[in-house]
Amino acid sequence: MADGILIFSIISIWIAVLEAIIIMAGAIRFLSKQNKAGIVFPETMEHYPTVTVMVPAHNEEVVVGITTEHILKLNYPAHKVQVIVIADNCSDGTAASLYRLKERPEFADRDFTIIERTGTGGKSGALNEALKITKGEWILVYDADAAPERNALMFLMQKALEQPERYGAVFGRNKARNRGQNFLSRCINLELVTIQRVHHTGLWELFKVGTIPGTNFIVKTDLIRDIGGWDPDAITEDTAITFDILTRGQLIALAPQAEAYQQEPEQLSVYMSQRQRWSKGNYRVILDNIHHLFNNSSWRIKIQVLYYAASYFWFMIAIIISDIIFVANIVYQVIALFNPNVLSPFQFAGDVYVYLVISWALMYYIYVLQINLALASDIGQSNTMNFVLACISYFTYAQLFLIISIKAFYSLLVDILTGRKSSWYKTKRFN
Amino acid sequence: MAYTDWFIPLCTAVSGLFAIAIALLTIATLRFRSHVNRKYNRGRG
Repeated sequence: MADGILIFSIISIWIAVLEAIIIMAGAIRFLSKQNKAGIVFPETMEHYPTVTVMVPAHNEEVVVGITTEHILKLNYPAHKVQVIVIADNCSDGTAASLYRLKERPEFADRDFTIIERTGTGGKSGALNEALKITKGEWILVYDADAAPERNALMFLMQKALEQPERYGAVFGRNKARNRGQNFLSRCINLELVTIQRVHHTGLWELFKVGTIPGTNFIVKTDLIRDIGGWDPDAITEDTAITFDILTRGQLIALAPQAEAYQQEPEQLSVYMSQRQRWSKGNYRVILDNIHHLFNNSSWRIKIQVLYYAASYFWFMIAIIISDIIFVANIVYQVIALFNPNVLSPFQFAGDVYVYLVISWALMYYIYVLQINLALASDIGQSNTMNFVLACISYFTYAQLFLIISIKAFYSLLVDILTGRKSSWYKTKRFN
Repeated sequence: MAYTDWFIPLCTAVSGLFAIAIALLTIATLRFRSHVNRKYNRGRG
């Protein structure tokens, strides 16, 4: 029995390492090409399509003003941009701060609508409300804390126009604007740069597979209407819409130069609640889409399902088991110092246990290597402090993922068994 | 035949292949970092 568990753990870690090697090879190719090509600005944007920018905001008075100001100052023809900010069930000064912005003379001629809404459906409900009055050919979504860089929309659209028939959506990168605040925000920053600069680039380079993030992406208005808008029952509406787009044969392209700054949690409790919601939402999306593995869906959808299922189910179980084996063996070795007759329940034949340690060491090495590749591609981030942080984050920050995943899975099980409706958790912002 | 008779050689082969792949990725990462540093003239006065 113990040997069977050990073999399962070792093979699962091999697959995780293989996945990391493949994705990293794709990322290196993408980043090297991008580094050589540089940035190209269009001579004119008069032929660029019209865009509706949507910003759902629920009690966001701390950040929504500055985000909307950034949006109104985007480098894109002003007459082609419609801005809709949805003050969704707000009990603070969100709407007031938006009206103050709208009254400023520099924005007097702008197509800028503020919707004060009291309906249900959370972020999806707010976006669907804005969809009713959308005039643009494309929709751009920003969270209330995500201040875009000046050229973000231009880069997103530049990518979309490379293959407008094939690309249903285009997504950019998000950076942590408060990354130096404390240990937690520094670790979140490492995770963010690694996912965006290694995982997203690798998957796009090798398979032309992309994932809609919650913010800083454009999507065709007709496509969203065809899908039926955003699903108000989805906990992570971005992952849900990703599969809806892929099942319609459209691609989700990556525009790496389109960047936006978002605020990350600075308190552990806020972080845990946010990530638990994401994990739970992703579990739900995996369960809803697992059938794609067994029907004649496109291979890109199968890769996407496998990627999520492996990350949230398979690798998680393997890591928990190998952690238990490691800790149990260490504890029993300490006990054996005082009482040599006590034996660990995990006794293995031959040197097999050594190979679990080797597999784990390879996984740890590639974890640190991925972070350092990502940091090398982001100016100013490849430094000694971030390297040390990458080395220790595996034993601290990354282990939180296990607790979050277990709690999220339990919560989802309770929802399914009792018919409980998931409540939407809004991430707390900081000044 | 004990499972270790086939599993340990498999472990050796897989670990060896992964070690080579990871060594190549390390070299590629360091080369990329050096290109970026040179391009943006980082670390120089």
